[in-house]
Amino acid sequence: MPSGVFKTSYAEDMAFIKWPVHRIALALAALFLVVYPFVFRDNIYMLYWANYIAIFLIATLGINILTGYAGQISLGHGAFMAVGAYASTITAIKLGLPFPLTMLVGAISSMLFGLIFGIPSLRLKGFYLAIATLAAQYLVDFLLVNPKLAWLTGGSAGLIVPEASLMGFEITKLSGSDFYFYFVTVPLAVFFFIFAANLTRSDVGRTWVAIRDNDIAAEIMGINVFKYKLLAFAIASFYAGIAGSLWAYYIGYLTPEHYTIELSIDFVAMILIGGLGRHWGSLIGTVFVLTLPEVLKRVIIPAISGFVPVTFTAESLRPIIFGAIIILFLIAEPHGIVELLRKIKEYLRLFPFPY
Amino acid sequence: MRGVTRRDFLKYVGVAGSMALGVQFLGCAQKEVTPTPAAKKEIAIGALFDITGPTGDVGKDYAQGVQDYVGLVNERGGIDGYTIKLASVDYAYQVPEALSAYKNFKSMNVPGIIGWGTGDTDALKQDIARDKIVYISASYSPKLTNPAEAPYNFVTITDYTSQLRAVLKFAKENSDKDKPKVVFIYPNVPYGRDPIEGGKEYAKELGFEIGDDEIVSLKATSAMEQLQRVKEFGADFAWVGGTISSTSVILKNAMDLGMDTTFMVNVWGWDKRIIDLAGKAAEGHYYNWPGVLWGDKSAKGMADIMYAHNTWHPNDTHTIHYIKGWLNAMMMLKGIKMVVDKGEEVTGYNIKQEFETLRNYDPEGLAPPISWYPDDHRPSMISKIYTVKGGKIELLGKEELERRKDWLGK
Repeated sequence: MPSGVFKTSYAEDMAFIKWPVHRIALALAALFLVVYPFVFRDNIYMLYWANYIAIFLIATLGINILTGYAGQISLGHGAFMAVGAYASTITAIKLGLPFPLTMLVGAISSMLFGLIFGIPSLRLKGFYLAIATLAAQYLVDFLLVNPKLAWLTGGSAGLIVPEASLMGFEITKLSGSDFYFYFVTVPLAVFFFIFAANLTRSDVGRTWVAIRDNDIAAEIMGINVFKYKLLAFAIASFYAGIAGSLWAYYIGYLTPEHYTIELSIDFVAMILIGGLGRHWGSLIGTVFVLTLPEVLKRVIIPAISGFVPVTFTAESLRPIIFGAIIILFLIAEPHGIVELLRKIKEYLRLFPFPY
Repeated sequence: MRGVTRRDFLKYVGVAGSMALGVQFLGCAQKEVTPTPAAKKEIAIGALFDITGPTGDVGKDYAQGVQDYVGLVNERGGIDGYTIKLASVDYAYQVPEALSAYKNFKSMNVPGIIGWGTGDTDALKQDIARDKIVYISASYSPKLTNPAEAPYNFVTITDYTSQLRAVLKFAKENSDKDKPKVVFIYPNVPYGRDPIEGGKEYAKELGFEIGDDEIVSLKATSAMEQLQRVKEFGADFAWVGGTISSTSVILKNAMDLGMDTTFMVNVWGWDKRIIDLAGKAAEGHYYNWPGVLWGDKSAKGMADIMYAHNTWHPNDTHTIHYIKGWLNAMMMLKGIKMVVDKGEEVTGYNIKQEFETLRNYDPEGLAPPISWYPDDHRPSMISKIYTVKGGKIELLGKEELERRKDWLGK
C-alpha cells in the first residue's frame, strides 16, 4: 500500500480496486470460493455452511442497503424473505414454472410487498417506521398460518418445495445437492454483492446517504426523498425475495416457523455487528452471527462441559455466551467489526508511530 | 493518547485472537482423542434435542431418557462389543439448526437419528428417505406411520390420531348419552392439527355431535373466550391437543366457568406436573398415554430406569417424557442389535429391514407391544387413558382399536 493518496482523477478515486493489494486479496478470495466446494466435496456439512451463509448474505445485503445506507429501520425483513419463498414455491407448485423464473417471481412479489410497507416511510421515521415494518412481520405470520388460506400456503403444515432444475439438471433433493447448489448460491451472492457495491457508490447511493444523514437537508437540495426511500425498500425486499426463494429450494420444505420475528431481529443484529452501511459489514456480520452459535456448539461447549459436570448446564450457557459476545463486540466497537478491522489496519500501517 | 488506546486495543485483539486459537486447538485435540481408542468398535447415532428452546420444558426430560438408555447400554458392554456414541445436538426447536445438525450427522454416516419435534421431522422426512437413515422421533404424527410417504420414519407408540380415536371410543362407551357432544380444541400448529380430521371422521362414525373447532395457541394465558363458546354448545367432551401449559390454562378456565365437560388431553399435553399446575381442575379428565407412568414398578423395564435414576441423578424428578426418550433409544438400539446379531453392516437400510420384521415386540412393558409391517408403520393400536383422582394419577382404562387400512397415515 502506498504511503499517501496520489489520485489524479475522479475515476481513480471512485474505483473499486484502488491498490494492488486489493487486487491480490480479491484474486485470492475468488480462488478460495472456487476451490472451496472441491476441497469439501464429501463434507456436506461444510458445503451446507457455505450455502447457508451465501443465501443469508443476499438478504443481509438488502437490509444493509435499506437500513445502513438509506437509514430506514426495518423489522420486517424476515417477512419479506417469507413472501419471496412462498411466492416462488407456490408458482412452482401451481404453475410448474422453472426454478430461475420462480425465483424472479418470488423476488418481484417480495419487492411489491416491500413497496407497500415502504409507503409509511413517507410520514414515519426511526422507531415509528420500525414498528410499521413490524406490522409486516405479524401480518405475514398471520396469513401464513391462517387455516382459511391453507389451500394456498399449506397453513401451519407448510409446503413441500418441488425440486429445482437448471438447464436440465436437477440440483436439489439429491445426495449431492449441497455441492450443486453451491454453484447457484455463491455466484448469486457475489453478483448481488457487486451489484450492491456498485449501486451505493452511484448517485442513487449518495442520495440514500444524504437522506440517512439528514432528510430535511436532502429535500432542500432537491432530492425526491419519498421516491428514494421507496427505491431502497424495493431493492432491499427484492434481495430478501431472492434469498427467501433460494432458501426454500435449498431446504425443500417450507413452514411459517422459519420466518418469525427472531429472523428479522437476527438480520438487524447481523448488520449492527458487521457494520452499518458497509457491504463488507454485511458479509462479516452474516458469517459472525451464523457461525458463532455453531462454533459455540461444536467447540466451546464441548470444551467447557468437561469442567461442568452436567452437560445440560453447559448447553444452557450457550445463549448466554452468545449474547455476551455480541454485547462485548458492540461495546468494543459500536460501528461493527468492519470498523474494528479498519482500526487494526490503520494501526499496522503506521506501526512504530502512534499517528 | 490516541496511540496508547490503539496499542491497548491491539493487545486486546491479540489476546482474544490467541484465546480463540487456543480454544480451537482444544476442540481439535478433543476431536482427535475420542475416535482413536474405540474407532473400530463404535457406532454413532444422531440425536436432536430441544433443551433450551420453547419445548425445552418437556424436551429436557426426553433428552435425559435417551442419554440414560445409551449410557446404560454402554455401561453393560454395549452391543456385542460395539459402543454407542450418541452425537446429540440441542437445536432449540429451530428448523435451520436441525438441518445443520442433520448435515453433520450425515457426514458422520450415522445409521439412525433420534429426533424431536413435528416441524423438523417433517422437514427431514424426504432427506432421510433419500439418504436411508432411520429416524425415530418424538412426534407421533399419523403421517409418519405410512411407509409410502415416510419410509424411514418410525414411531414407537400409538400415533396421535389413533390415540384420539381410542379416547373417543372410550368416551362413547362411558357416556350414558345417545349422542354425546364433542368439541376439538387445539393450537394452529402441525402437532395440533394432524389428528383432527381423522378424529372427527371417527367421532361422526361413533355418533358424536361435533361442535365448532376452537383454536387455543400454545402460549395462551387465557382460553375464556373459546371455552365460553364450548360451554354454550354444551359439550360433554372436549379434545385438548396442546402442550402442558396451554392444557393447564384450559382446565383452570373451564373450572372457573363451572363447566362439567370432560377434557381428553393429548399425550404431550400433560404429565404429573398437571396436578400442581391445574390443581383441582385437573381431576376427572381423560389423559392419553399408551405407556406406563414413571416409577410404575409393574413394568419390567422400570428396574433399569430406576437403576439409571438412582446411580446418575437421584435428585431429579422425571415424567412420562423421560420414558418416551428411553423408549425411542431402546428401539433404535434394538434395531442396531438385530443387524449386528445377523452379522450385517449397520446401515439405515438394514435397520429398517430388521424393524419391519418385528411382530408384537414387547418393549419391556413400558409401552404396548410394537409391530412394524413393511406397508404399515403403526406400532400398535392400543392406547391407555389415565385420570387424576384425589391428586393422584390413575389408570382408567385401555382401548384397543382394530388396524383399519383406511386409517393408515391419517
